[in-house]
Amino acid sequence: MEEYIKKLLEQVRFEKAHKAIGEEIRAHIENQIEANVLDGMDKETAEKKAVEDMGDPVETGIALDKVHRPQMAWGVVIVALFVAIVGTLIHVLMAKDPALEYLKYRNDIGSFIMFTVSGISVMLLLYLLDYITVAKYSKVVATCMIAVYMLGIFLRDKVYFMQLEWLDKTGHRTGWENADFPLPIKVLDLTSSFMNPPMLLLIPLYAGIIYKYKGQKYDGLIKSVLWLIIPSYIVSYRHNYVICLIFVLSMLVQLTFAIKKEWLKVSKIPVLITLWTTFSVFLGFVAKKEYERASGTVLRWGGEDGNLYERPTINANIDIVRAYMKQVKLFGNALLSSLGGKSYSPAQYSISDPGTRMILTYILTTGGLIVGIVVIATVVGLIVYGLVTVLKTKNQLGMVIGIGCMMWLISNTVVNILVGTGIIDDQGGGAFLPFVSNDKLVESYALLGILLSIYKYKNAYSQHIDINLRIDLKKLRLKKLK
Amino acid sequence: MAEELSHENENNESVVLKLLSEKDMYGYEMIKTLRKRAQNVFEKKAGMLYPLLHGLESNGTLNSYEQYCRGKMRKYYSIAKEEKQEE
Repeated sequence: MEEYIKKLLEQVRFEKAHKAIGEEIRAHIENQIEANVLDGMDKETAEKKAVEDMGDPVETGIALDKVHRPQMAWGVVIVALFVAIVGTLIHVLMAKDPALEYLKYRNDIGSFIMFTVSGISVMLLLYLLDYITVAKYSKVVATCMIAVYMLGIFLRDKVYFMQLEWLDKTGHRTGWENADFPLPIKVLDLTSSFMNPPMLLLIPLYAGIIYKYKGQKYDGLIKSVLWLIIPSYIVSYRHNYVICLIFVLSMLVQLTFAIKKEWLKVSKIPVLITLWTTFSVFLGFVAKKEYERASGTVLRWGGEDGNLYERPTINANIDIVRAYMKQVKLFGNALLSSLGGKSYSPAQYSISDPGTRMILTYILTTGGLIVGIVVIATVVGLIVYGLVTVLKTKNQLGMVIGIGCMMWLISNTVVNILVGTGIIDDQGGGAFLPFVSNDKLVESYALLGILLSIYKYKNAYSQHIDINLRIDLKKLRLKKLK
Repeated sequence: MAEELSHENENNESVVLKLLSEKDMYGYEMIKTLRKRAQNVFEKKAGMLYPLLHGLESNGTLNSYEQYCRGKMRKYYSIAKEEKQEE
């Protein structure tokens, strides 16, 4: 039997598919042997007859080789390139917009193109990645990333105080920007700036971590929840609460799928209700706290009449965006009335961050409603297409990794649309419009790259696969003994 | 010759799809059922059932799932929903 399987697998060039094919063929032959033995054959004859029934291993192997080849999600690549072109076009037009002259926007077009090209290169490179190997080391990689991140935070604070101390000593003669700090401070400063690993990668790693607890009961659930809470809390140290909530949401959706797919042996409905209720309460609590904090911050400005005006910042930003939205036309530039309607100016004069956070406000007010809808539809289309693609994979681990990645992109898109249209105010939160905002471009394409890697093995890996490192070590020891 | 092969493939495909329209099955179960009905198109070449199943799964005609049975993992095949609706 083993000789038959070996000969058959020799014909299949895609080695990642060997395990699943081998197991299925072996199960078939074993079933046939059992049936032959029940028919009265001795074990040796039963095996010989079962293998004969299978036919020519070379012919079957060649036929399987035709089916099992690394798959490329060309659809996702083509749509991603199309979205990159749309994004570049928007930024080229922005660079030509005289209304953005005051922001020196022309300087940013170069960086957008550079990050987009780097992002696409990273995406294609990640196609080569074997996500199962990464998942095997998910806990180790995640722990190292968190450790480096925390060390980076510690070092950053340390450097800051050292710089302050040095400036105090020198009597602030040069000011912060032109200060020529001593070499040790410079070295520490540079080191800390490199100690900022892309914590976003914790999202795909999280699926691997939960998968390692597969088969466990409530102990596995508690450990999975801790792996969700602790890194999110640490990430919240450096980032805004919206970024942190998107982070938690993406991982919670992964955990939900893992529970639904019975990776953890827990009562599904009560656990899911508890998890999502806790998340909703937490969301409400954070939103309320942030609203109160923002309402307490007052924006003051001097009017032309010489009086001092003030209002809470939370209303200042959202009021302006809402005023823009009222002026949005179906096509073309919206004019914003000022000075009591006596003068009109293009809305983009007063948009902050038009290339990143508020890009949708800019697009809607300059291009019009239809252009805005087309841009949103293009981005959402790519993400939904990516999600549909990843759902085609048989391997549950790959599917949950992909769902987490796409969830991060979807959440950012939704928050960015709500902020850009003035429905909510994220207080400078930093949710972006993926592939269009000049922000997190490499990260967004990298997540698409992970998706390509998952699709590549869609037929090769079976529904479940062992990612336990101990099994690999056992195999290694056995090989050495042989 | 090529035409004959393609005709044979089409025939085998329709036999498998008809079988799976009755219930979800794993590879050996399909061969066993076909034998009982004296229509085993895979006689002495049972292995060739698998490239056919994998190909149909790859193009979305079939879905598969794994299930433990008496300590062994079995890979079951089922007809994808859209295909079922067409029938």
